[in-house]
Amino acid sequence: MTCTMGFVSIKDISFSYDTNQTIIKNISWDIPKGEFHTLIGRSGCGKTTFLKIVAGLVSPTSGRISIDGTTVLTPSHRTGFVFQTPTLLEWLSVIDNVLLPLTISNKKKPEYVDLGLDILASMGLKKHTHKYPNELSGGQQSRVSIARALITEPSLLLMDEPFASLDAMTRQDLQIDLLRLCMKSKTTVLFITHDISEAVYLSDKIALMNSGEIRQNFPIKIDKPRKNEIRYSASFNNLCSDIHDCLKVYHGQTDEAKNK
Amino acid sequence: MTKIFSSLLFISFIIGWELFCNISGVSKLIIPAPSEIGIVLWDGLYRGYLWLHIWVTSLEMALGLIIGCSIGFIAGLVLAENKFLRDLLWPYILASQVIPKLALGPLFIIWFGFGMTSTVVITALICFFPLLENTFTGVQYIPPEKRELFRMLRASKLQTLIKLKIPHGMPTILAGIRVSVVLALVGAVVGEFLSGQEGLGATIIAAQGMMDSALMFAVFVIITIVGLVFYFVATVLESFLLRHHKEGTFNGKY
Repeated sequence: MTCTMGFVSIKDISFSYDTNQTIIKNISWDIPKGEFHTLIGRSGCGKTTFLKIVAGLVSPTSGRISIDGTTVLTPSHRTGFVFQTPTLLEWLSVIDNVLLPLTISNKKKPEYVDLGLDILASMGLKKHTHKYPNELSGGQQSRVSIARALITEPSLLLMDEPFASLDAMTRQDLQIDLLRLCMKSKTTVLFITHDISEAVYLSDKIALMNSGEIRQNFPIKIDKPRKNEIRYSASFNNLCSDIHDCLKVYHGQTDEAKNK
Repeated sequence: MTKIFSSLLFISFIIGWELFCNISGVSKLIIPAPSEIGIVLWDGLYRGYLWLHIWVTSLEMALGLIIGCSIGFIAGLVLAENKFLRDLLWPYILASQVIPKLALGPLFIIWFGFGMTSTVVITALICFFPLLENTFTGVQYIPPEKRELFRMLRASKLQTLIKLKIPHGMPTILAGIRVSVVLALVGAVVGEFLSGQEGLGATIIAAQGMMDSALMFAVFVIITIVGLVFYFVATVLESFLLRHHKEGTFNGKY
């Protein structure tokens, strides 16, 4: 892996809606090129807001984010975003949904159409190319939304709990597909989830977030490519257990602070 | 099954009406029997007397719908996209809609003369507001994630309008067209009461002059059929345009 430290560089990011309520508190984070980092935390701890700040959809109250040396002020064509729900346009066919970013940027050329078809084929959606979103299952819709984010070959992919509404088996299949595609294209990923085993399976590094702060980092030293079987190994489960315990401790501290 | 009961209800109503007219001896000037209405209707259609009026009313209705809906659609988009114009113009648009359009009929006759133009203007004015209101509402209420998707894709305001807001708001916009279709018939017929020399509304006024209640009822039947045909066309158009407009997110299948 060709790693350059700080491909994504996040320095002292804070965000608040008003002076009394700080949502994100002084987060700094470096993501080397091609690495898969995950932010994990309970619902409402500020994960999505943080991801939107990195995407340039929300401006931070203070701090700076840069991607490959360029400061992020607005959404960039180098960044792909996968939302919590597939967010497909139901009046467009699968291929047109995938090609939407190119249609918007007036780059819908035959070679990109071929790329779209390739991505769909690699996600097992070749025979669904001309179907419409309402004809697809939840898992297939999620795959289409990932294909749409990958069509522009982004150097950074931001994913906000994209598999949250799927069943365990579909989620595992999608995790395998995602990891394979990202390794192939050497895409840098910042992923959000509250599923600990999903985070451990996918990531090179996990950051644990609580009340808008990064409390702890967990480097994941499991070789890639990762087989599905590693989920059942003792080391994998110990790691999940450690993260779970930390989450529980920090959540307990937050509850105590609120009760005081 | 419901359709059979619905048809039986209609047949029972017609038979009951026929029996009532025959037994009660009520004057046919007040309530003509369905059989008599049927004869007048058949005669008017067979001899071609009513076809011209059907054509004129349908044309006025179609023109009024196209003009009114087009202006309403464009005005709805402009007001939804431009807050300054919305704040500036909305009170005046609302005030213009509170005035009964039919009360403006005599003024339109002075401006545009007797005949089709006045009726089309009245019809267009009636059709304008439902489309404006529904277009305005339809393009404004877009799920935040879809808005953010278009922001992420760095879509321009015009691209967001054309590729997201209008298609997403299409169910609401087309519901406005359905309402306009019903109102357009009211506009066309009542417009003809005031200014028409031809058309189904003018035929009703002529029948009133001749005390020909059976002809009036025959025209009511035709107006109902014309309205249903236009409404049917609107629903077919709606079904076609919305054939993929089911919720695009997870629908419970795996």
